[in-house]
Amino acid sequence: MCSYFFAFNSGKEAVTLDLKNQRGQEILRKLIKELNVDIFTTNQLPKNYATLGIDYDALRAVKPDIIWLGISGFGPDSNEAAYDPILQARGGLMEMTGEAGGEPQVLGIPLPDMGTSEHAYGLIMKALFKRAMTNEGSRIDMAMIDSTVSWLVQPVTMATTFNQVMTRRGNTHEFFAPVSVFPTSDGFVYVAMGNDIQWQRLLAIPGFEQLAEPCYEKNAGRIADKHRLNERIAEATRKFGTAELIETFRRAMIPIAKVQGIRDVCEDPAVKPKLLKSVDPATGFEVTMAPPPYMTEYLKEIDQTLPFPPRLGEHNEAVYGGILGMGKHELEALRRDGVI
Amino acid sequence: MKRNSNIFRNLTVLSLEQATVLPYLTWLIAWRRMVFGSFGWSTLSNAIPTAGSATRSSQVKKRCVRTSLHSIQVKRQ
Repeated sequence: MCSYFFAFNSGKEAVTLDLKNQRGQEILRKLIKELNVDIFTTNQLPKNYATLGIDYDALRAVKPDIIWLGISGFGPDSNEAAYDPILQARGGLMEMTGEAGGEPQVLGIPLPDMGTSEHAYGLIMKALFKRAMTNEGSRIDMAMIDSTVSWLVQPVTMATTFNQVMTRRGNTHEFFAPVSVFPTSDGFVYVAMGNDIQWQRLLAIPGFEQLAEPCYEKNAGRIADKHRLNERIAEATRKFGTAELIETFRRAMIPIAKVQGIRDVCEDPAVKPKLLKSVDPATGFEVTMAPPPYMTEYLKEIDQTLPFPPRLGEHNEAVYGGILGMGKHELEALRRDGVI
Repeated sequence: MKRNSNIFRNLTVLSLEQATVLPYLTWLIAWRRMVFGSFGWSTLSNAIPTAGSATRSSQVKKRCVRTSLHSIQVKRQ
């Protein structure tokens, strides 16, 4: 999806550089020196680090306190290619996602991709702090498999220590019922009933009285028959509109939420004011992007509008010419030789 | 210790992104379809880089940290 490009490249400058070419490697070293680069990151396969002249030792020789981050699928000793779904499959996320008894499913978001970045971000912050305290740089090798499996907090311990293998269970909860997604006449709601008092409140709502059976009075009884129970609840919820059911359940203090579509999410009052945007100065094309996880003062000051993502090599002249001082003829020669 | 009050200031991040090409092309295709209703193959050939590509953070005034799929940029304070 194009959203990948927008969200991850806003605010950047982009140059092209052929690092298989010795002249390209030389330019990279100059860039690191002239820009006084603090952090270098790459997602090249580890086998290419030295070949391209981007390994930690090579860059540390240029800038001794550089913070070097290499993101790979399975660590610096593996050159296995990794895409997000590969990690979802091998890392157990697909095993945990989907209907009970159904096929494993890919998550709706690329968690291994984005989670690895978040984990790398934390490590970069630690490296910056270390550098501030010691003036030393760092090498960080971040493996997507490590990041991915680290989310399996409960399943790993249950399987290895308590010999209880968890797997996908659809929308239901392991310990409480009824907890699931239920249909309405115009959408879906998620209901989470965490105790027997809430169950009694449900039975008091017109349209749900028929569920009043002794075997359902306690959570244990409801959990034991959760599939049939959920079907019976669904029969009742289908007769309500989403808004009506939410209002009714909220009055009864039963936890409920509309399962929102993405357009609904974007219009949600808790979300809409925080969306980011970016405008292409060349065409006026405006892109709306997901909100940041935390609204910083800086984002408020720039009206939540980030610089538009660069075209490939858009800043070649500004960076190579402006920062490295290359002349027009030199740039033309580098272009002609395929170095930039 | 002398730099510990300055950890997040004036940071420059250089990221080498092997995967830039693919997202760029998907964006290009989507954008051209949206604006022109078609996608020109001449644009595709122009977009393919010689080898790798690199991005660096823009200069901005305030501290702001943002993470991304294959790179991390720390904008300048």
